[in-house]
Amino acid sequence: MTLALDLQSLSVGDRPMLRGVTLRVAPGEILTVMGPSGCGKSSLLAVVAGTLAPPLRWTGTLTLDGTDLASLPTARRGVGLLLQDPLLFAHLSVAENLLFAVPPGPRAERHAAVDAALAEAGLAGCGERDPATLSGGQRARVALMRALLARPRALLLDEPFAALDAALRAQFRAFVFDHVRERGIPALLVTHDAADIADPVRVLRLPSAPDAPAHA
Amino acid sequence: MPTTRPTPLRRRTLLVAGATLPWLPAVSPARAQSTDAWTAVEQAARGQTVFWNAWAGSEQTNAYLQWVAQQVKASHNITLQHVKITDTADVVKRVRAEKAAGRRAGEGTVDLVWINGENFAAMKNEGLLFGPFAESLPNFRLVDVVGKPTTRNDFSVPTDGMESPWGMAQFTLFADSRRLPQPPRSMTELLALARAQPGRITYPRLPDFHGTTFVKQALVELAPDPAALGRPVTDAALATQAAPLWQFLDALRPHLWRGGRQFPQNAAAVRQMMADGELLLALTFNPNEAANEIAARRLPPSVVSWQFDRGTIGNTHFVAIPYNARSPAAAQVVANFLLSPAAQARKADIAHWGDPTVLDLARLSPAERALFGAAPLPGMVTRPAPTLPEPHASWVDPLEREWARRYAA
Amino acid sequence: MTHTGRGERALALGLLALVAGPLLASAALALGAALDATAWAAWPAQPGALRALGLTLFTGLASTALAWWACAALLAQAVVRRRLDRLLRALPPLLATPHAALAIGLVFLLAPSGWLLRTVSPWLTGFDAPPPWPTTQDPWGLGLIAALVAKEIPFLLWCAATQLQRDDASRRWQAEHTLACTLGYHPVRAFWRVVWPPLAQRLRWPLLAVLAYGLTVVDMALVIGPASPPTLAVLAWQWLQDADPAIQAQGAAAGLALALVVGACAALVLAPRRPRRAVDGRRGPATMGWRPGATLLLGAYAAVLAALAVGSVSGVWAFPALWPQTWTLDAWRAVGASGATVGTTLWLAAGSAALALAWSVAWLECAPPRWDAALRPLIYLPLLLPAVLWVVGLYALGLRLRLEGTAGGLLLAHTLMALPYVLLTLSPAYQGFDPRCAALCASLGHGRWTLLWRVKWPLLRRALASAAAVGFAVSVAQYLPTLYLGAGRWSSVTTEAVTLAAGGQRSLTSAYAALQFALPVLGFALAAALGRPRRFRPETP
Repeated sequence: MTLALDLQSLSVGDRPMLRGVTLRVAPGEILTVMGPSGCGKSSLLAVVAGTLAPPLRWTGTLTLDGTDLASLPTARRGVGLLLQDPLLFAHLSVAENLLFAVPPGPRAERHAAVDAALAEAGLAGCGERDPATLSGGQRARVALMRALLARPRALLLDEPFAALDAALRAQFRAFVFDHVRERGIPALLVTHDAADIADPVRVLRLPSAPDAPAHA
Repeated sequence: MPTTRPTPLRRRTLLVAGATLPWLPAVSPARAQSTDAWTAVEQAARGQTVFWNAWAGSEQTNAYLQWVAQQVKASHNITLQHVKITDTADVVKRVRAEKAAGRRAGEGTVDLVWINGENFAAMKNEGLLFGPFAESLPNFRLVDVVGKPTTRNDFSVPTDGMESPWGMAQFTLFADSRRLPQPPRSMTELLALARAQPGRITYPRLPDFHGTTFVKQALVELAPDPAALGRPVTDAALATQAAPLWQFLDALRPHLWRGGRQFPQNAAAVRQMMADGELLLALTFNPNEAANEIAARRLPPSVVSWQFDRGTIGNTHFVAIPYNARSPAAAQVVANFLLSPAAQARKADIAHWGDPTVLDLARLSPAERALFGAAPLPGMVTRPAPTLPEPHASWVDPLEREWARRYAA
Repeated sequence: MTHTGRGERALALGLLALVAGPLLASAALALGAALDATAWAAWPAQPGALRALGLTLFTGLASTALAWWACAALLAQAVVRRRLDRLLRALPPLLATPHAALAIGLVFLLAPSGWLLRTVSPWLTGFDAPPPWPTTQDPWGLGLIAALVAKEIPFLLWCAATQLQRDDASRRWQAEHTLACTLGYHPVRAFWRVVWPPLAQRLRWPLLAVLAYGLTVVDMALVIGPASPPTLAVLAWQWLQDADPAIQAQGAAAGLALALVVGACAALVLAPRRPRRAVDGRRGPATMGWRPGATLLLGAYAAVLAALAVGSVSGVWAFPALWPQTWTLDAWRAVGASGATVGTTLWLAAGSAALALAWSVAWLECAPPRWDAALRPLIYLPLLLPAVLWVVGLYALGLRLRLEGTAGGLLLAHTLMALPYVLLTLSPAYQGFDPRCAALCASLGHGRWTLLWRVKWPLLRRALASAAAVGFAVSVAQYLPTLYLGAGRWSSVTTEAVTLAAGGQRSLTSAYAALQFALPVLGFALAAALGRPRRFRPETP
């Protein structure tokens, strides 16, 4: 399942932001996207996720394993999202947050999947808790497990480590990368911190000026 | 062969009636409905709903209307709904709007309305009423049309059977005898009292009907030629007859409550202020209102009512049926019930309302007459004064406008 | 989410037609009744009309300015002393008090024979009879201003609260305030410089609603406002009641004049203005506004309610007795007998609140932002046009559509009146909802409906419940629409209360005012209960 993006232009109204960006991400690979603030990193993710809102517009092609994604709404693209803010729903317990992501199926199977995810996140038995009572690190892990429970075909990470302190960051980074590689799905990681680079070989640096193309 | 010119219809009827009158004491000379026609009305009325729009400013009125509703439900299965309104002009407006919107007979929202005076004149002149029906009601024969001429003549406008009389009203004052041991017996005495105790007397702001009546009372007492007031108003008549009135009100104004720069909303506000001690006296149209309030323990027993020595304005209040009523038959049945001795007696009973009856007690059977027990109660008028007739309905508007011009600004 | 799709646009258009249709038709009919040349010449010539206009401007503008300042002062207090939540929790009962009931209660307190004077007479003042002071219905409208201020402060506070508690803003302004304090500014000054300006900017529509109400109120002005002449709104209403069509036309014209006055003031309030540059660097303590402010406000409401409670069971109560001389339950018995009206009030209020809420949610979900920004003034029209004029149009429309006296017509009228308030209360929270949640939910494979049913609406429960409660309270308090469109077939607790207030019996009026108050309070209590955040089981160690 290769994620391929051929961005011809990304503009805000009439002002161009990015031009000629191409990327190909193989399964299990994590492409780190870096660049100065305001260069359009998060907008690039939005293009892939399908959440780009006017006045932002883009032209180009986007495919995942050959299927065209650009014509699909976000809910049918199968692209997972992990944000800086874990955004666990406050009105659901931890287990319910996870259950929310599991695709429809027999009840026993879904609950088993949730239990497995909780164990994986080191929170076995904590399913009934209020998400607000979890620590920052725990919330981040739950957020990742939630994204993964939905069986995404690709994963987008928008500065997910920025809110954590240095020690937790390294831990969580390893956690995320391990799981992504284990699932064998392509992932795009946006960050401005060089320490977050997953694979030094696979880095896309976005230029600060819109005219220079970028490839990865 | 000599031909006589045909006598005009009215004269002929009167002649016939005059000839038959001694032999038919129980039947009014007007067109009495045959029992068949009335039975048909009663049949049609069964199961209908009547929306009676009536002023609802007092609990006694509301309770009495509830009782009427129970009675007509039991007797004719009529559902009587009391629609509470603050001002009858509202209903006039509504019926007028419905007529303008093309609502035909049977499509209106009002079936019966409690009405008199200029509101009645407006509805009658604009063709907004159903009828004539009043004098065909079986109980109309009990009405005292001789002793109470206002039952046929509403503010000098003939009713022509377009409204059915319901109760009597007479302008009355009441006060706490502890604060006012010497009640004023005329408008002039009232002025003297106001001078002696400034700021403790007032009357409701016109066009509230109690305020208008206060001004009309003064007019009737002070006008040089009271007979002119019974005729439609003209500019000349207004100028001559009302001149002493304006002089009087001008003299009174500085001694009124709040210097006459402000007037209370209505008579109920005046009554509340009198109960609190802020004002010396209050006004009403119901001579038994004070007694009723004392019986309900809302006024102390030391309150007395009185009327001016030379008489106070009195009138009759009626019920009428709009032209587009949905249940005119049931409305007529209700109007007829209101004229029955049982209903009139309960209405006149101070324990319930105290509104005087329109019936002639002499025409009732002894059993019926006994319903109107008359034990004197504290707060009743001890020396009833003569009833003065209302000025013609057309005087109301010019008076109100002139009053507003002088005192409302 | 992304830009609105075609289906959504169609739905938004449909919603718009549902509301704009009757609104514009009523406005047109009302204007038609008001645009009568002779009436326009006639109404200013009526005695006291111009003075009434002056009174209206004075009371409306003064009360709005005072309420605005008081609201800001109370907020400053609450923010600086970190008591915002407590202040906001105390609001719902204040908000629920119907205008007329508050005015009646204030009259009982402030009148020359009122409770305040009774507590100090005759031992302090030597009065044996009520003094001839014009403490209520005074010719300058001060009583009306006091009543309006007492009623509008909670409303403005409520609207400010909805802004301050938006998801996207709540942490931010607190952070900004703290930041300003660390820069050396006194906390109060920091509030005025940093928190208040953007907040005030967002409160323009509620401010306008308050101003429009103050300029056009009828029932409060009747009870506690000047009487000779009254304010222009009352005068217009009295003319509209008259049986003579020429005078009615005058009333409609005066109503239109009032609308124009409101429009002029609206232009002033809504005019975009450059924010004042507060960069003079002064950091010392600023005016705090008013330490006992909140207590004073709550105390005033409590006193009013107490006055109503005692008044409702009083029989004979002459001055200067502090307590009634006879006590009676007659008034409450009468209230108990009017079960049908309570039933009518409840279904009307529940129905119109539900419809208004459904419409508002649908609109906020589907309408493109540009349409929303452009069309808000239209939807807020019932807030701005005087009720007096409005009702003329609504009734004419009802007559044409043969809706007068029907349950459907009455429900429609109440919904139209409640809608602007519901939208006003709901918008901040709804539009402030974190947009990332929607993206996240979609990335988990869920469609729009799942987002709404399982995530967005549950998270917004408190805002939805309070908006519904506001709609409920607004419907209960409607007087003129119920009177006209009910065409006498339907009466609500408010129409009963005002009708009985015309009768003047203190006990009955107080009892109905108390009933009028109880219903919206129940509504708000229900909303508070429904809107409570979910309780999780305590952690098992």
